[in-house]
Amino acid sequence: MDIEKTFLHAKKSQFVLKACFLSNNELAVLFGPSGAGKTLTLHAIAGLVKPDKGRIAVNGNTYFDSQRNINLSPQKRRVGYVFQNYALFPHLTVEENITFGLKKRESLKEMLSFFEMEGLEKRYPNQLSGGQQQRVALARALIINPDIMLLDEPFSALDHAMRMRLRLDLKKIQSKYGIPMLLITHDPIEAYTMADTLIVYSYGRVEQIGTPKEVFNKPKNRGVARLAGINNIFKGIVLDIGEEEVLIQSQEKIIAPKISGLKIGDEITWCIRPEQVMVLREDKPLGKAVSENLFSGKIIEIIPKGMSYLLFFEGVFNLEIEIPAHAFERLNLEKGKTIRVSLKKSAIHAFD
Amino acid sequence: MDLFPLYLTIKVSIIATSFVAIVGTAIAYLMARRDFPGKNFLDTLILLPLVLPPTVTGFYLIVLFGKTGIIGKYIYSFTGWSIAFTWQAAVLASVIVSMPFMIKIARAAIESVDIELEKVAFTLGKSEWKTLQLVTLPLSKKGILAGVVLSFARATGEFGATLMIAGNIPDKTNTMPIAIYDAVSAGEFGTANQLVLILTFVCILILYLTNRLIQGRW
Repeated sequence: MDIEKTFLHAKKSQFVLKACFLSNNELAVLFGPSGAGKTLTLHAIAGLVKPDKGRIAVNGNTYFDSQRNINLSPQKRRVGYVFQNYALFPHLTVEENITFGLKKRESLKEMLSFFEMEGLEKRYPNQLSGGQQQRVALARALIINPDIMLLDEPFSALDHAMRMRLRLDLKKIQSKYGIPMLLITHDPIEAYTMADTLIVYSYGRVEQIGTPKEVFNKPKNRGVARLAGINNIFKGIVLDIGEEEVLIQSQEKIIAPKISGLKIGDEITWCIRPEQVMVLREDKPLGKAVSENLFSGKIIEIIPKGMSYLLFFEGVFNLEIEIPAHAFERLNLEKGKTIRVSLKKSAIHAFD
Repeated sequence: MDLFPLYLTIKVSIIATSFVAIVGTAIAYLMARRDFPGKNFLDTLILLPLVLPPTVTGFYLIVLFGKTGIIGKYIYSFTGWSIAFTWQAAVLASVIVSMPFMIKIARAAIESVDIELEKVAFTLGKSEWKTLQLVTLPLSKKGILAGVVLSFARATGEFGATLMIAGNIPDKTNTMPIAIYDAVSAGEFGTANQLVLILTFVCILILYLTNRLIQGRW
């Protein structure tokens, strides 16, 4: 899949979109805040919106190419589009909905059993639960054997249990039918857990493409870092460059892994994920790995997050720290307590 | 009693409403789903007969389609026939005055169909025409039917514009409303009473039947 396009938006604001990614039976996730152009991208792939220029090809079939004057109609593209609100036909039954795109009703049975919906054939969409409606929409898109499945915010309207189920369903579709999928989410956790390839959008731009791990640990810039849930972002100046590390002067001196193309005196931004900040045990001697970048400060706020706690740390650097529940309890942490933290060198990520 | 006015009114109303239903729905669909130059102007033009007194609409029809009218004179010079003072003129008048009802109501009904349903039909390989048949029309059926009923009612009651362009020719263009007016003018209240009762009964019957029809599922 190879997408590149430039838009003039309806409101005449320039909307430039450049995405280029290869995919083979994989699940790609468009991740970004609302208004970033994610849905517009899906519309362009499906042929519901015509880009000004660029090229869209899926599975070796060119859908759109402004230079060669190719612009297939939505009907000719083989795209399984699952809309955010599912867009089921309210006047048709489940089976009429699922087979809507077929000439013959051949694989209805298979779809019903694949999505465990036997017995619901004669129901109308308003007689189904949200999860069932979504599975009808998935089946309706899948049954036409599309080149690609496009899913607009499939997780947004579901409760926790239904999300887990949908994740499994999507993985099942992937392994059984081998159809590439492109899904949209603005939820970092869904983005991280679902994606083989993560495409980060912001203001109509692709900011970064990579595996979830790359994007979440090594964001390319401040915007991506924030989207990936990193709020520990600081500015500094390069003081010294060593073999493998650099010394950065921020509020305090920080040692970070070396990145190429740096000069002494350059301004630099660095960040650290909240889960990577180590809270040190006072009763134990320091291991070598955590002896870098030590700072003391106070916990000014604690927010429980289920299996973990979010600490707000005030010191030379004001940090957000996410700590697993068992560690939180072992360390007897509480509001107002003074703690020492280590910003492990290997966990620090610097960008321009 | 002469039943010709009743027969004529029903004939004119059915023909006019059939035409209005088809053309009106098509225009309503275009207005709801397409953008084209002059859309606002067309919208205003279509609504005009709703606001103007029917006699004014009728006057325009004479200006346009009369024997010496802007369009009518060409029709007359080519065919030797003019629509003025024929029963077809009554149809024309009914079409023009009832069209706004049809288009307004059908357009609102079509616009209320979630456009994503049409988009999803496109991605499932259905052409715009197929999508119209399978999705848009079934989902806006009630509104369109309501438009048809109102148009029919308006066509049945049409008086002013019809009188202007079709006139009041006994056994030719005297529809019910005109015959009633005629009877009252001539002081024949007995005839007027009968005609009024018949017209009222027919209208109630039609409204009742269509209401029954609309109350079905979708």
